[in-house]
Amino acid sequence: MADKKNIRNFCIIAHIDHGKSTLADRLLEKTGIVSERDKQDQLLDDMELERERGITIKARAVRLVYKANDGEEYILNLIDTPGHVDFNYEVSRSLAACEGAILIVDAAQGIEAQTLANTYLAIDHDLELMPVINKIDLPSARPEAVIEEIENIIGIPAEDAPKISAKNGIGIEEVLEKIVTDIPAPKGDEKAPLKALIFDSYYDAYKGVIIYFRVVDGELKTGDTIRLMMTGKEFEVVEVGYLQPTGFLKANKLSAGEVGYLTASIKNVQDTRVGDTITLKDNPAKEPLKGYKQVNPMVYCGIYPADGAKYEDLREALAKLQLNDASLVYEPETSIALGFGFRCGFLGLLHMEIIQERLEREYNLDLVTTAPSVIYKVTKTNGECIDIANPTNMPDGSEISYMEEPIVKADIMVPTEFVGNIMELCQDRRGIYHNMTYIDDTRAQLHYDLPLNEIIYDFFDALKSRTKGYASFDYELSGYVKSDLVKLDILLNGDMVDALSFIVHESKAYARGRRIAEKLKESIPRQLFEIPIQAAVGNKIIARETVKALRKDVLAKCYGGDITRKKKLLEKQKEGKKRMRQVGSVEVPQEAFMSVLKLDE
Amino acid sequence: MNGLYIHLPFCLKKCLYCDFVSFSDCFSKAPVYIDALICEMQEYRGEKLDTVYFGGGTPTSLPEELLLKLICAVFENFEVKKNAEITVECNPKTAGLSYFKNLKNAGVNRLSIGTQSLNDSELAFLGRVHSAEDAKKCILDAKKAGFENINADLMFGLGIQTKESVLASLDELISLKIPHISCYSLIIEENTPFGKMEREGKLKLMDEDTERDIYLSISKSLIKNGYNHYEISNYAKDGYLSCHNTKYWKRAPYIGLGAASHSFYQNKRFQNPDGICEYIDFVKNKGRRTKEIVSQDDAISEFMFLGLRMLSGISKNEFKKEFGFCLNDIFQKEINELTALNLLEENGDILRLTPRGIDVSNEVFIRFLI
Repeated sequence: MADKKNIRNFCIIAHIDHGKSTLADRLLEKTGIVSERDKQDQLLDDMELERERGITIKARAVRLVYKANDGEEYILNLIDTPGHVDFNYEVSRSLAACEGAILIVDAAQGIEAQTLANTYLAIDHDLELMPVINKIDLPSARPEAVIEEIENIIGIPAEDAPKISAKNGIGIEEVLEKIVTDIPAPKGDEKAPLKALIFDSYYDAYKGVIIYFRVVDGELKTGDTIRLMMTGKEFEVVEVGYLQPTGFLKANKLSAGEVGYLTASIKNVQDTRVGDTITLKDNPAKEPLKGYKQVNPMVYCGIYPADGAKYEDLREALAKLQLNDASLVYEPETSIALGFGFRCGFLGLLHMEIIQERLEREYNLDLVTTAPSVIYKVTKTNGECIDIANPTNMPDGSEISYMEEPIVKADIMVPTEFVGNIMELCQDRRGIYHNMTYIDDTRAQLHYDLPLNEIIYDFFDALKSRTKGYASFDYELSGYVKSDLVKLDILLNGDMVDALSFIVHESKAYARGRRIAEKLKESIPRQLFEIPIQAAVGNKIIARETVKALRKDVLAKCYGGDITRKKKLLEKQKEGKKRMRQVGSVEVPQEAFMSVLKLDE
Repeated sequence: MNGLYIHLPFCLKKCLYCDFVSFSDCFSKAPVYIDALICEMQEYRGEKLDTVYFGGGTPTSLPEELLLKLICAVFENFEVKKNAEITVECNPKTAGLSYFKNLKNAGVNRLSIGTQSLNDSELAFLGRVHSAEDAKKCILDAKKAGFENINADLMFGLGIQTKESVLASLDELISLKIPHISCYSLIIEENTPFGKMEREGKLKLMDEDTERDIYLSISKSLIKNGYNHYEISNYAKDGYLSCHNTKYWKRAPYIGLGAASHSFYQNKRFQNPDGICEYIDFVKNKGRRTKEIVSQDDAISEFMFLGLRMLSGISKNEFKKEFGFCLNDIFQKEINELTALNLLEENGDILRLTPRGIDVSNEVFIRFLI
């Protein structure tokens, strides 16, 4: 066990692509634990998907041993944080486990929206901020300007910030020394009752749930009976230890200031909520640590197997994913058009995309998903208030007194030349402008209130395409406001397709309805009869397109007696029909359901 | 009584749309190939034939003596019925008056001429080796040689075609008094130059609606001029329908000889190897074919989707005679749906495609696959 004064608990915060994972790798290398041979790029991101997308989805931690210039050995606990707004709460719990944060800023890009958002989060947690200028090897690097930016915008001294290239291993020693000198050692009382903060947990098939935690006060030993203060669950600790880059290192006990893991034959990550406080059953702390929050999904969508027979497979896959992801929620639902599936809730759009991709990639499932929806609050004329996550459940207009929708505070950082484009976009998305601050001569930050349902469709794509990819964006939920919302239904040949219904602001219904009708017209093949596609609000048809009747489907010349081939062609055609969804009398290909998810051209 | 199909996979040049087995660079193998065909005939020696069809490829791209040798061999090895229909396919560039006279003397009594169009730009678009003038001369030569029973092919649905240009070609064929006209729409097959052009977006296509308008005009014009629309893509004056092709629709037996040829023989379907050399080796080594026994379900499906290609339709009595139970017993639901959609019409014993049913015949056929 290390002396508290030789422990440093820190995290790295950065905008996506500014080099967080690369710096983490270099720190690991320099502390001599990872050999060149074992090194995989970006060690901390251990899911395949994370590596591909270059984002960190779930927090991980690692314990490094560093012999500093003062001759002493230090334990450096690097706690990795998810870099995306969907995982803000998890970020906040990781930050709460640290005393300091390395703030990486790209020497060419400068400060971006996520840098700022995470910085403010770190300041909220009283972390010592340690700026680092990365990518100084780039020809476009402008480290001095970026230092000025940090001092002006964030208001922290940065003239001593190490100027490094994580990619090329330049300046890494300096970063390690700075961690030792600038980041405070943990405080905390070993003698006090145990308080340890859970900042991550995941399910392991052999050990059960593995909890990652930081001891704030007290001590935790193997064999202790712990109590998780929020869930109230109690477990006997099987194993405690440290998190080395190469694996677990068992220890007898962990004391105040230390970071490590424990296992206790826990079956379910739902019991080990991030942010919960671990204490001892026998000598419990009086109060839990502050900041625990039950995270609730913000975005919902229906997920259906493309092949109805795969429903059970989908259910199992979701259950397995949930073992490691307490924020994923799902419950069975049925759709007339899509059959049996699940309504799934996610922290945000990225979280949703990640889950969909993992289901398809890791579990080999073909999915049909419905348009994402947020949770609307409906107050009925009888005074009852209900949450609507599935548009199909929206009550009839006559029963609704009023509706509310979630609003987010959005910060958009953008080169000044694109400010006009972004304002136009935000206005189009029903944004309410607050103000604009200039970061420097070339960049501005726009502050808007935006309805969440306007950003869950394709806002991010629209943002990127209107700024040549230069805009960065960050948001957090700020509350609910009353809104004139309507349910838009799509009818094919007069039959409503439940899976295509969604809730939309009245002012947008017409344009959205028309766009969807057009998209469907493109993706539904001609059939034996004419198919009207209608978009309707209540009983009112607001848009109409027609898929004309099939004129021709004929194998022209049947030549040379090759009947087998003709038959195979017909059989193939018949098979193709089987893969379509039957909606009333209309055959709808899977792609049609997906085509309405991206409406922006 | 059997039909005989002999495949001659030789062409001066491959057309851009063609995915039949045929080669433009294998003429040196033709003599050996003909010998292989004659050798393969021995397997069926003595079988009775009432139709013979020399198809390709372009049979008439072969030197006359080779083709004549093959025709003689058919008469020697099979029992060819008197007045049997004996067809040779030809391409306007490959055969002239004396070739036709020799074919006639050898016993051939029907020609199928690959005119495709009588418009030079359309012919060039298709990659045909002949001109419109060549095609007309070919038809006149055939008549001069004494052939009356002639088919001409007419293709429509080409991206560069107009209704006027197709009808102009058709009018010429009609005025040349061709008694059988096979009209079919261009189908873009994957493994052809057209297929590649389509994938690359370089092929001008015709939209579905224009194509059907053209088809309707063609059909109307032919019927007005005394042709019977007897099969989805075939029109004939009284007494001139193709007996050989009709065997395919009626599920009559036929023997296929040559590379890539298909047989329906003793209730089995089977196919020869595709390549010329592979075929020659196959015959030399007395290779075995994979024979597919046609199950009752397959037979029922075939009965429906082949039989319905004939515009006279299928007979429920014949169905019952063949399979021992009523057509309506297994397909009542399909028949009801399809008649409701005006794709099929039921008239006493007969079930047949409506004009609308012809347009979307695949949609009808797939309902009858078991």
